[in-house]
Amino acid sequence: MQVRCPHCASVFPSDRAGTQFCPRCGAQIHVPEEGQVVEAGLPPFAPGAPPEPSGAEGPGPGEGPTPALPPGVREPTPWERRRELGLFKAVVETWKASVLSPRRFWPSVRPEAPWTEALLYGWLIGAVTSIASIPLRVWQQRRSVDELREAAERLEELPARLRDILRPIVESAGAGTTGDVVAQAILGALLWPVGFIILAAVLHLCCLLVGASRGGFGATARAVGYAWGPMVILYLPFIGWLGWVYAAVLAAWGVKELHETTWERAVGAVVIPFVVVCCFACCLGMAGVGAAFSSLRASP
Amino acid sequence: MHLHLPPRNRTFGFVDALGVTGAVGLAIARWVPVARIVPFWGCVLREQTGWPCLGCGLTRAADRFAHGDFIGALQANPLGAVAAAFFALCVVASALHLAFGVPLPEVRLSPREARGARWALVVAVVLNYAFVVVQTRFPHLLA
Repeated sequence: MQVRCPHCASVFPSDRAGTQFCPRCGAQIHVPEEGQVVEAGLPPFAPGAPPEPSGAEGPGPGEGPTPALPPGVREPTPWERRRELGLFKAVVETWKASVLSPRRFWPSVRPEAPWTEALLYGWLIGAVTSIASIPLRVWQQRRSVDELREAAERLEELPARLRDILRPIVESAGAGTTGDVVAQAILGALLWPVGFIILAAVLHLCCLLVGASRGGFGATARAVGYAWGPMVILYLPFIGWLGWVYAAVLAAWGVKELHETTWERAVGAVVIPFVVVCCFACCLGMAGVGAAFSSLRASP
Repeated sequence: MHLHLPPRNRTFGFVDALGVTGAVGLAIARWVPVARIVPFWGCVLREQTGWPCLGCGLTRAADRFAHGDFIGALQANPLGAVAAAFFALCVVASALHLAFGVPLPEVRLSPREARGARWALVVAVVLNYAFVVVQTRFPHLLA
């Protein structure tokens, strides 16, 4: 049969239906079973599924009327087809697609599908990572307790005022036991959905602020859930923070594609909470360093 | 502005997510003395220069609001108190929505109105900061 690509309008022969790539422009397209010519990409929002309520919907400054729908075929993610694929294969395929091929993955995600699917996927990743990391966290905790014990012994050598500042920190940090670490990991896994909802709410507020909320709260929540893949490295020493960074990049990618907005707005929405958290952490760090220096200066 | 009231439903949406966020935040403000637990809690800018930052007073506003001291919350940071009240309203609305299926009104703004709302927010932040600066540096002006 002859197929017309909705992206570049070129016509090419194909001997099968289903998802495939245009040989001319390389875009992913979906060929229907009946062998009709593919005329256009699927609309991003299903008919009868209006965007969810929000405070400041609509295009922002300079965006003008609703832009034409971007080309691309939206389909259920492998995770949403887990009954057909099997749970393990569905998780692995979704993880591989979202983490390793985000350029192909995000334009294919449907913004109007239930966001609870993304929550379940993210929860599975988060819970498995949290539980699997217990041995590593116990080892790290034991190491840090040893180091803090040594630090506590050295506290006596420090000036009195600095010692008073550092002592409660050293004592509280070294007080954790293996049981605490295990309880923390299990509690973290159980309470993951609460954190997810808070994160999605904050990100959607930022999306409203930058005028990138076309798909509603559900689309933002789906971006957060399916961006959770890189968090599998969260507890690895030295590189764990990269999980957060790459997850933020994927979330921005998801916001861009699911809300059909620009890169600037999507990155802005994701960066605002990061900047606030970073400013806060910097303030605490600077306050700590400032307190230490001023105590050193004041000490005889 | 387009206001739409959907039929009765219990679908978890954005207001419910804000309700969860508000419930967790206000519970922490009510029962966890964050400023005492976290080491070096405070504003470096204010400590070093005497001038407050944009976020000065937010912890006090949340803490006082969660303890029912609404006037005190407004004095600490007016916009912070308004935000705390907004989150508390979301908690109540979400509880009614999820427990009894009370529909939550959907507000749709035109692009122009949305732009206006964003500018209004910017103006509110600037005015709020001006108030916090005056209260911290020139309290006699408010007396």
